[in-house]
Amino acid sequence: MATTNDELWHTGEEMARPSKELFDWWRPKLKALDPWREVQDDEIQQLYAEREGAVYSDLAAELGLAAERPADVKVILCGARGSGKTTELARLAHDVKQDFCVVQTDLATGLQDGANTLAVVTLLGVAALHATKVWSAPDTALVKLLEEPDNAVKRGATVLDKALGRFRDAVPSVTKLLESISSIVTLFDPTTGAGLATAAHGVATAGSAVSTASRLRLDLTRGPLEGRLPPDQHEDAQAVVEAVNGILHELELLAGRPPLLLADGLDKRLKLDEVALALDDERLLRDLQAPLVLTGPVNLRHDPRFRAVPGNLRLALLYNVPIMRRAKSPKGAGSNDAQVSPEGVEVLHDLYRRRQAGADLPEELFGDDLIELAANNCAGIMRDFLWLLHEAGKTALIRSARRVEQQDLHAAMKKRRLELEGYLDEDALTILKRVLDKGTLPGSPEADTLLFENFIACYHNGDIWFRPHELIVEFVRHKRSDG
Amino acid sequence: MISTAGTTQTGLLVDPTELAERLDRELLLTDWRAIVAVVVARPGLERAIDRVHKEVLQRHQIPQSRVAYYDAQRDEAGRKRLAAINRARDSLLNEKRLIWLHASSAADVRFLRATAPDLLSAIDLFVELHLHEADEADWPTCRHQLRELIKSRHGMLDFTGLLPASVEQRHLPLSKLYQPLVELNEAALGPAPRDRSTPQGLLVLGHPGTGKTTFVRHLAWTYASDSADPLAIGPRIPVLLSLSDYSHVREHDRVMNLVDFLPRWLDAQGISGSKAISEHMPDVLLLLDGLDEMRSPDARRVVLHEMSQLLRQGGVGGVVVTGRSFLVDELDGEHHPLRIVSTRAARPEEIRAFLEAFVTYRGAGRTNVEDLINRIERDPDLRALARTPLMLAFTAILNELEGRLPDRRIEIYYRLGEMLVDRWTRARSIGTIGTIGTIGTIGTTKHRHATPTRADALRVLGPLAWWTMEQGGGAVSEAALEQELQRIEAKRETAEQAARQSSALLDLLRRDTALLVPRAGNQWSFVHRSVGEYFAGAHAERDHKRWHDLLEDPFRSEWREIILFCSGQLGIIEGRVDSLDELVSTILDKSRRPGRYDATYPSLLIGLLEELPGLSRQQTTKIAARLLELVLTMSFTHGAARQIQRDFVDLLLKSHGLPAEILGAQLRRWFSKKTRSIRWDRLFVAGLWSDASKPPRSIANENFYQIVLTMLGPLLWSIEPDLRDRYQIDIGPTLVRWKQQNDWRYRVAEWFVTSSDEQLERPFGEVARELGLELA
Repeated sequence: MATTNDELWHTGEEMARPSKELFDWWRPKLKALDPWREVQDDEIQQLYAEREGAVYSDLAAELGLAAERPADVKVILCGARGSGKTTELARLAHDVKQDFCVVQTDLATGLQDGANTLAVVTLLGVAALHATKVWSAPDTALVKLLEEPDNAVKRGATVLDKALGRFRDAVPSVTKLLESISSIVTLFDPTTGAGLATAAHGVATAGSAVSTASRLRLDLTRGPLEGRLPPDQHEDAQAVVEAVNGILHELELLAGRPPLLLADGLDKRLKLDEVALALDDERLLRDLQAPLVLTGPVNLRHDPRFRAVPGNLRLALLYNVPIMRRAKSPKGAGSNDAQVSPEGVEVLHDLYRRRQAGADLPEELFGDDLIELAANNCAGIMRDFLWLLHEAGKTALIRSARRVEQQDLHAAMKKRRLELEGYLDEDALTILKRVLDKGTLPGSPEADTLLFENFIACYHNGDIWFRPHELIVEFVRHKRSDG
Repeated sequence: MISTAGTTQTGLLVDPTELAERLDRELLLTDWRAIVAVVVARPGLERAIDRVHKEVLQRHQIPQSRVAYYDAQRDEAGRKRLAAINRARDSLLNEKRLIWLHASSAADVRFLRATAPDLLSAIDLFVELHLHEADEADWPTCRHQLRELIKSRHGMLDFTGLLPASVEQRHLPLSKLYQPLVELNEAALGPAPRDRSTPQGLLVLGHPGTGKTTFVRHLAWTYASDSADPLAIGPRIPVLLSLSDYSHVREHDRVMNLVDFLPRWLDAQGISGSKAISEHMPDVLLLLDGLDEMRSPDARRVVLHEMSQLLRQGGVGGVVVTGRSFLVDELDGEHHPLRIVSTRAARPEEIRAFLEAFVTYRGAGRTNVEDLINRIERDPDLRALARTPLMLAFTAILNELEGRLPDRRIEIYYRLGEMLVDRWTRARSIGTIGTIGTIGTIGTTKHRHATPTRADALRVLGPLAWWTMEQGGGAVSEAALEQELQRIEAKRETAEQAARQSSALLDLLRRDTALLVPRAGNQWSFVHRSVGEYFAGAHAERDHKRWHDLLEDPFRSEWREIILFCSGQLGIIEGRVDSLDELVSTILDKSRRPGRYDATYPSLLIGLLEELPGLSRQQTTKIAARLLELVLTMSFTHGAARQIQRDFVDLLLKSHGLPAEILGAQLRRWFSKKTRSIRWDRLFVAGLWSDASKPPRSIANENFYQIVLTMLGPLLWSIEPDLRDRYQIDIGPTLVRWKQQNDWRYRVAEWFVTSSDEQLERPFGEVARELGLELA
């Protein structure tokens, strides 16, 4: 990363304020609170707060219990943006890497537009093949490996090529896909516990991860891997699944433990129908002989295919940290008024304490009252909570201060609030008014989008209930009286 | 050099220096990943942006390869590119040093948010760029430019397209053609605001084509040229704004107050120093046309509320809002500072004056016009039609072009539609031999079907008209129009062919017919909203879904004209009585069902009785019966009650033939046998003080006659002698019943009906004393 150029600080007249020294003092503190900093695998346990009933620990337990038939575990982890899906996957990987050969694939960058379920299966198969290569001959060049008479990578590539060849149309060559797949796959070394080859690290020598992933998407942009799969090609698709299962079997033999496929980023598809298309033939995913955890948008919770029916992909939902709870009405019945929930706020306090300990942040940097204020206004989204602290820190720096005051946090809250308000049109406000009044979510794609985009929070203390993001509640109320 | 000295800038609005400082700060603070900056800058600030961009990169020694720059392009290619950037967020945050997203409007920002939600959730810097020097408000320049704009834009009426190309003079002076169909005297205006010091505020209501827009255009021109002061507010700078423009921004860009929207709208019209207007609103006469073109009832209420507040606080020099009659149902009671006034029908002398001017200023012969005037004056059907300026203009044009005159509104629109469609099809045929650029793409094959037919035209125009109505009925952007045409064509063509055809169709619609006319800001609208409604109505029954929707909610106020055109098309033009019967039966059924859109405001029933779209005698009787029941017994809001009575009386006074016969029979029955059922307590609620237990002392010196109109409503006002004589109503039983009531209003009503015209001119206080009424 670029280092600060000292020359920048000399104006020729006087030293600029805040001083370079103050910038240098603040930088590591802001880095610790930065919600967008890439967190290393070994930092995860330390830096993230433990939620009650965390999804990752449930999943780890489920995988442990399904020791006989781990491939039966097929889960879609759904949640709003910033609800911590990726973190949950990372924590799951961290928890089970001793027992499973974890292959984590970033579908967001690897999957092309209009990709169908067959493309997802193909990508997962190639990722597993890449893992096979890393496990069997990490230092041998791929080209050389494929020239050798008999090895697991060559066998897998040949079988998968043959299965894809049943589609006749120009299908991508598995070798070509293998060349660029490393940019989107993260593997874990069970002996050292460290990331063996992460997506970002894996491309250090192969050039930009972005351009490598672009190549991958381009290679996948082929007829059979796009759009709805015609019924007469289901048998051919099944052959691809069998080929991938063969690769998974080889990988298990090599690693001495069953593979666990983690696929992140399906929720970054822009349109719901694109997500639907990628999951259209979900039975192909069910037939993979490895446990699979995908992340997906929260809207999938309406899809009847993922209701709790044995054999189906199961939904696991990530809710907002319940920083609010519904106030009891005098008669004892639930009402839609809300009050702060100390249990939820404590989770965020814990998160701050972890960051504080990890980066040795001074005690006086944030007072408890400020942490509580930030927690109350983040709608239970950890990322928003950190952002508010990070932004308030920046404002304090601008004041040349070394301690965050209320005014700094209020400025951060205002900034976020204005940003949120700026996106709202009349239709969105109408939906938000309704959510505020009723505590329920209207059944429309627009409401789902507001939920996914964090304009609406979903709390699960007591019944599941919904409420506009705490920062815009007053705005929505005010607009309601306008109307 | 970095200058962070003393800056506390954290707001959204920044100038270029502040933008550079903020970028510097973010880059200095965050050196472990890329920073994400969203910079909103309206068009024209690109140079300033470029300068900041270059300076910052140079200062921080950032090579271009470590910058991801994206300029919001809301087309498919732009969307794909942004989606790719969004997907690669985590990699970009690791690899790059700066991710710069450029937007020109709030709509762009929403597009960024919708297309790159992951990336935008990681914003470090979100700012809106403005230039101080460009913002310097210059009221004298702004005022001068506004006057010139209004004079140039509203001085002439444009008949291009409606008149054949052979007619040389198609722009005619508004001041010469204008007939004042909005009375501005106290008798015609609704109740005055309680605080009479508030500036003049009017809400002009009327049915389509009754001259609302022409009225505000004439006001705008009059005040811009400083030639008169019809509103008695002194010299003012007129700003005439179509509310559909404002509505579009509210729906597609951001929700903002109308006063905040004005500078932006003026900017778009090329007016300099537009920000100055905010400081000088008391000098401004705000003319807001087409309240009904705002789709959202909430938004309409917000506009009226904002205008009311401005008027109460003296924050504006005057306000005139126009809208269709149905809006009266949405007004929130009697204390609105906007006084309601309705457009009225043209009188014979005004019809004559208009037609003579229409001919004279185009240099056409007078023979035809004399003949036309004579025919209109003789024929009661034609006379009823020619009461609105639009119909009068259409009638004159049809008479000139076709030498024949229809006697129903639907026939006029039908003929006009045929004429315009015919012009289109001829243009398109010419296009196929290469006269008109892209049009050739439609008819490149020599297949006989390449020549378009009337059916082709209707296939496109019907859905297109419906779509524009669903957008509010006002102007729509050219890009959206083409997209919709493409969608319509894609129902029967491949995507590629649909794209080709939509482009060619748009070209035709724009260039060779009068159907679509350009509006400011690269927008298009139907030549008159009612023409769009005609095509929507004519198409309705062919579109299963829309027909179903119409039957589901026939009383939806914005569909009134579409329903009337649809009925006329079915009953008069096509003779398809089965469908017409289905529609009419549904309307009658739904007029009894409570519900949001089944409003009791009986405007649709009045419209059906006015236009008689091939109704059977039985249907006419049922509609008339339901109408009388609604008007004479139901309770309405104060504003609506007045408008309903006005429309009802208007119908009674102009009806002839079968409807008059049926209405007369039923009226007589109500006044003789059912007189106890007439809710006069509700019919008397049209006035400002109607709910007071005593008449107010403040009106003691006012003319009794005018007070009755203002306070007791148009129905009572018209009973004696007009309605009584026309329909031979026996009001004896009504008088007997009134005598039995204690409420002072019945005493006033009785005195009004039984007194001579001379007595009615006396001051109200004098009559009240005579009647023994105590004033409050």
